[in-house]
Parts: sequence; C-alpha cells; structure tokens
Amino acid sequence: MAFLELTNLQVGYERGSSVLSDFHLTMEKGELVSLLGPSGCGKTTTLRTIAGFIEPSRGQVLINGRDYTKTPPHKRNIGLVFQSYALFPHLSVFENVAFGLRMRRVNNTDIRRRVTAALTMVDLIGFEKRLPTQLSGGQRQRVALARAVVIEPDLLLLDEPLSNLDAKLRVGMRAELHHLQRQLGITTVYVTHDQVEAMSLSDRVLVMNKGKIEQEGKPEEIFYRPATPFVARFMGFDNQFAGHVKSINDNQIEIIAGTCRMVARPHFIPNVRVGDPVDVLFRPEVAQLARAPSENAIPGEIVFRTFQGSTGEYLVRSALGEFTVALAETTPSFTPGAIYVVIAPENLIVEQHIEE
Amino acid sequence: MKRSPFLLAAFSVVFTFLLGPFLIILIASFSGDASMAFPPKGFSLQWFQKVLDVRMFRDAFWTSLQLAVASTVSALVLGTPVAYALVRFKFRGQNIVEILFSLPAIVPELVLGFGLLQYFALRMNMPIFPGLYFGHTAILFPYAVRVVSTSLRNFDPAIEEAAISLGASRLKSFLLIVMPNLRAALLAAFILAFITSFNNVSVSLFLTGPGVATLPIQMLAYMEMYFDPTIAALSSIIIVITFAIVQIAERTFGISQHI
Amino acid sequence: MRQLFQTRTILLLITPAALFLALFFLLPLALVLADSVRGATGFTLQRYSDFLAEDQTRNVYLRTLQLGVIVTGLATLMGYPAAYFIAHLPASRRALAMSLVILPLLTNPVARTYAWLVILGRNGFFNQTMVALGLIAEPIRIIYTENAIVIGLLQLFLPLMVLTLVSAMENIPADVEEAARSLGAGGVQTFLRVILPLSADGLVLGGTLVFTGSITAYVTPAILGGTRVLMLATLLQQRAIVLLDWNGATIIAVVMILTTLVINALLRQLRPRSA
Repeated sequence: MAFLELTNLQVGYERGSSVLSDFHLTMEKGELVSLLGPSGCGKTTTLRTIAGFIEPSRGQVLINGRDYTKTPPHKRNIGLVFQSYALFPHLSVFENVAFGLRMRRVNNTDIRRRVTAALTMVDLIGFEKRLPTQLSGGQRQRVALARAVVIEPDLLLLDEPLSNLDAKLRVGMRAELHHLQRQLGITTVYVTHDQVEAMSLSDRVLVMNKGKIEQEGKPEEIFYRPATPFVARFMGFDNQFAGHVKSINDNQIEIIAGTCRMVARPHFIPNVRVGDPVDVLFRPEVAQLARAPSENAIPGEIVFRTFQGSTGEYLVRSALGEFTVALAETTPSFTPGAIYVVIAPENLIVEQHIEE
Repeated sequence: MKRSPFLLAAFSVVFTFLLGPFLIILIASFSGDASMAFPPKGFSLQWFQKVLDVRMFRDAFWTSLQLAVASTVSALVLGTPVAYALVRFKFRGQNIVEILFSLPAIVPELVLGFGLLQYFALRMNMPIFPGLYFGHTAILFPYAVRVVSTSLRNFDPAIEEAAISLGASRLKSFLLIVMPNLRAALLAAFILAFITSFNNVSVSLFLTGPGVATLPIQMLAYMEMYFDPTIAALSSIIIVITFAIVQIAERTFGISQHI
Repeated sequence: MRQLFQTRTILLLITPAALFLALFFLLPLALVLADSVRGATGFTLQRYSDFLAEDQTRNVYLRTLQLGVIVTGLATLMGYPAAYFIAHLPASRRALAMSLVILPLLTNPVARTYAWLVILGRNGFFNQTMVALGLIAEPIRIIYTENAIVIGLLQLFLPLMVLTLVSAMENIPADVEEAARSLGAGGVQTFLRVILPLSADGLVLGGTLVFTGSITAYVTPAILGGTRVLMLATLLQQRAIVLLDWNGATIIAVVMILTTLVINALLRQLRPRSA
C-alpha cells in the first residue's frame, strides 16, 4: 500500500486559475521523491499542502492510510526543512532541536538522548549552546535537519534546502542528505529547481509545470528520455529546430528542416505522421563541429566562442536557428567562420510540434 | 554638497530653533524671583520645591500615570493581535481594517474628546475617568499596530511554520516563538504610547472634572491664574525625564528603528 | 488560498479591538456628525451655512487654514536642508541627531509652548536681546499674535516634516546624486531635478501631517493666541466649555473632521505611490 497518497488535489484561488489541478502522487515508504520545476510551477504549494498549511479545495491527502486532509498542521507528524532554515533565533541549538520533542511532552532524559543522537548524525556535537546567529549557513542547515528528523516523523519535507548555500557546500550537503535519508529510511519529498540535485538524490522525479505533472519517473528516464518539450528543455536539451516528417518507421525518423535532411533514431518515436511539423532537440554536449559536411550536418557559422574552463562553448548561427555546442577543451579550437554542426542520430529527440 | 556651509548653517538654525526653547526653559526654572524676565535674576530652587508641594500637581501626576499605564497596556493587548492578523494573513476587508486602525491618528483628537464628553459623560452620565481611558486607548491603537506590524514583517513567517510543523498550535507558536522576538518592538511601542498618553491634551481637554485632571490639563489651568516659573520648573522636570527615557531606550535597544 | 481555520482565527484576533474602536471611537464621532445635521424638522445643513455666514466663525476658519499653509510652507523650506544634512550623516551621528530632533514631538505640549511664552514675552529672551543689540527701541508684542502661533506650531511640526523627509531621502540611492553631479548639474539643479522629485512622496506625506496637525492644534493657539487670536480648536473649546453652546461646538467639530479628511484624501491622490 502506498505510504503517501495525494489524490485529485485541487488547490487554488476561488476565482481564476488553480495553482494545482487534478494532482496525483503516490509514494512508498522510504522513498525519496523530488518535485522538480521552475518557480511558480506549484511544487512548493504541493509540499505545503502535504504539510497542512494549505487546504485543498478538492482531493485528499492520505498518509499511511489515514486521511489527513482536514487535520491541522501541528497535528501531523511531519518534519519540515525550509530554504531559509527558519531556526528559532532566541533558542540555542539544543533547544531548537528539542522543540518538537518538548511539544510532544517527551521527558528530559529522553530529550537529551535523542537530541544528542540527532546532533551526532549531523556532526554538530559541541554546538549545543550556540545561538543560530553564531552559526554558518551550512551549520544552520544541519540544525534544521536535525530538528526535523529528531521527532521521527512519518514524512520529511524539504523545500529547496540547499539553495542558500554556496556551490561547494551544496555538493557536500547533498551527499550528507542522501546518506542520512538512506540511513533513517524516512519517506521524503524534496522540492527543488535544480535538476542536478534532483537527479543525484531521488528514487523518482516529478517534473512539474504550471500546476501539472509533465513527467514522472526514475532520474535516468527523465534525463535521457524526456517526454515533453518542456521537460527536455529543463533537462538541458538547449538546442532546438523545427522541421517536417519525411518518413517514419520503427526506429527511425527522417526530417526535412530547411534545406537539411536529418535522420533521428530517438529512444521513442513520437506520435506523428508523415508531413507533420516536429521539434527536434539536442544537447550542446553531444554535438560535434566539422569543417566538411556529413550525415546530419547543419551548415552554419561560428559567431562566438567562450571559454568555460574544461569546455569551450561555441555559438553557431545557422538557417535553422542559433545553436550552442559545448566541446571539451582537449579538441582543437575552431575559429570563427563557416562550420557544420553534426549530431549523431541517437542523440536527437523528436517531438510533436505543439503550438504554445 | 554634503558638507556645504549652507547646509550646516541651515541645520544649525533648525537645531537651535527646535531645542533652544528647552534650554531656555531649563534656565528659567532656576530663576530667583517670580518675574518672567530673561535672563533670570538670581538663582533658586524654590520653584522645584513648589512643584512638589502643590497638591493638585501631585494628584494630576497620579491620574496621568494611571491613565497612561492603563491605556497603553490596553492598546498593546488589543492591538498586537490585529497587527498579527494584518501581517500574517491575506483576507478580504484587509484594507478596511488597516484604515480603521489608522483612523485615530487622522481624526482630530479634540473632536474625539468632544464626542466622548457629549455622549458618555453628559448624556449617559458615565463618570469621567472611563471616558478618558476610552479616548486615550483609542488614540494609542495606531502606535501599537504600526510598531508591532513593522517588527512582524521582518520576522520570517517560516519560523512560525517550523514551530507549527513541530507540533505547536498557532497560539503556542505565537507565545513561545514570536513574542520573545517581539520584545524590543513591544517595548518601543510601550514607551512611545506611554509618552503620547501622558502628554496628551486634546483628548483630555474635554474630559476633565472635579478630582479628575491629567497633568497637562492641570498645568494649563495653573497658567490661566498664575504666571511664574513654577510651570517652568515642572516643564523642565518633564522634559529632562522624557529626554532621558528616549536616550536610554535608544542606547539599549535602538528604539528609533521601530518607529 | 485558504489556510486551515483561517477565517475563524482572523475574526478572533481582530474583533475585540474592532469592537472597542467601534464603540468608543466611531460611535461618538458618528453621533457628533448626526447631531450636526439635525434640525427642528429633521435633516438640515442650515447650521453649516450659519457657520460660514457668521463673521467670527468664518474668519477663524479661514485664519486657521491660512496659518496651516504658512506653517507647512515654512516647515518645507526649513525642513529640506536640515533633512538633507541629517540623511547624509554617518549612521551613528544620524541616530543621535534624529533622537534630538524629534524631542519636541515627545515633550509635553504645555511645557513646550510655555517656553515660547518665556522667549516671546514682553520681558522675554527675544525682546531683551533685540533691545540690548539696539535693533529695536522698545519691546514689541509678539504673544497673542498670529506670528507667535506660527512660531509655536512650527517648532512642533518641523520635526515631523524632517522625519518624513529624512525617511524619503534615505531611499534615494547615493549614486543617483553623484550621477547628476558628474553630468554637470550644480547644487540647485541637483535639488530641483533629482532630489525633489525623488522625495516628493515624503514631502506630500510630511505636508499632510503638518497641515492637518496645524489646523487641529489646541495648546499652541490656546497659550500663544489666547482669546485674541482664535483658531478652530480654541474656538471649539470656547463654544463648548465657556459658552456651553453645544450645537455651535458640534458644527465646529464636524468642520474640523471634514476638513482633515478631505485634505487627507486629496493629498493621497497626489502621492505617486501609496504608503
């Protein structure tokens, strides 16, 4: 049986568009699911509805079989970690972590034992008496985490917890979070706009856009086989051009784009017929640059080149649009001028052209 | 332009104009005789002594003190929940509520005092002091609501939500988490409101009677009959105390940020 | 989006205070308003036209408005340079300067106005100094004139203007001024084209506060104007307490409220953004 179930959720304003409509989600115990999407897509709203701060106008929130839809947030056994950490400024680290236990009337001995265990888990032993203002960002985040898990919650909800940390810290904390969640086995919902975070932490990812789920699945599926143009663009398929289907069979689509003939062997063939308009997408990292034409070569002109450290990024202008090509710095540099952008058939994604 | 002599001169003129009179009154209160000449002739503490001796000043002081404490506490107790509701929630009619609680600052206090006198004291035969209390509390609302709102707005709502998610009801969260962090604001509001009530003339003007007179009103009455440095001495005392309170408040918790 | 139990909580929080205000603030005011239009045969505006027709009341009203304008104008002229100076002080000095400047606002109005009696009296500081310096032959009478009232009101309300202007100027980014300067604008130009427009919001707010405060002030006109120079507030007191003319007093009270509200509403329109 599913541990967390959101069915038919509708959350929204009385008049006008809803923030979430017809939202479904099921999670097994111990899973970590990420809600991934740009700001405004409804991921935080979903989280807050699970937590109980928002009442859905339709639908249900079921945790472990019980209907919590109408239960006030302080009666749900949920641990929350906020982007801003939200530590109690006037309480010490110890008291911050102990707060949830005090609300549950746990006795002092047990409080001391459990808080110490939680602080050990996040590596903050010795910091008990400090105040939040005396802690660094990373340390505050760890206190927030300890505070949320010490109460042994049914669910752990994290709202962009790493967004306020600098890049290096973020990578370290990500690993710690992953380890902690696996160790404790708490069912976790993780909200983020960073696809790298979602990919590295999750058992499953839900990509959201404008209150709806665009795609749901394992990280590899989302990354390599995006199901919609939105997901593709979100996952880094930055280059796109338009064309028409010339021929189509079991594993290959032939496309005419401008004066180019492109062959694509994507992992799924979209639901199109000959003559239909399509969008073709590819990643900057998989494209090649060549001085001579070959199969799947788009003629164009190098306009600009930037040095990105270990890669060089080329901006190529062509009749089909502008493309970004990222090459490893070990390949010889290309100077501005006429060039061909070559993409292997397997690296192209073809999607039905949708009028937005 | 920042350090131009013109600006410095302008500032000095304004500064002198605003604060000079207080200095003069301080000097005048040490005058040796009853003439209001300046510079004063002689030096004496007799006027300060007189202030302490005159019974009606002592009584009026008590009245003002009790009134100020009662109305300030009431305005804070009633007004803080309003500030909370306005900052933490979005609801229909929010604008009306905001306007309602800032009205007492816009409507002339004199008219409020007049109205309270007419209907409560005269027509309903209510005693005077309650009328004073109602009037003072009403005019203190805007201070309470505004100062507390400002402080609340700077308090991350996620902190309260964290407390709630950990099992505290909204009320518990407010008492245990929000209030301790509002301390400075509440103190600032208290001082501001207290001073406003203590000094108030316009509301108290009509709501005065036998045995019930606030200190400023009593001072006015005295001035109608006598013209001597007694009032200067009393004024000096009040000015110095006010100045001290504000300075101490500023040093200890930066009261000016909350206004 | 609704939070759980939201409406109930909000009502609980607001009702006690709202009830208090309704009973002890709105009600008396409403009754005063109602009384002012009640005539022998029902609704009447007769008493208002009487108010405007009668010489004394009309003149007092006009004088009150006039002095209000003068005080506001002087407060603006004096306030701007002072506010500019303060706004550009280093933070620690600024806090000190502000706490001193607002002192008149926090002091007992009787004490504050009394000081002016001492200064502007026949044998007061001003006259004595002027005579000693040989600028005038004999003491001039300042108390119980409109000038005295203006001076008294100015001391009270100038801090208010400075306060709002400093606040407005603090929101003007420092580099805007420097940019203007680097483009060749002199002091006056910078003021007119950069500072004034950017602090206009604060000016209108400050002006409203000063004007409405001036026309409703009681203590200053009472002490410095006496019965010779009546303002709206002292006229109200006279009618109500001294002459026991409740009906007349009611009209004056309503005129006071209406004028204040109208000015507030008008000037709110002027403001580029609302607070």
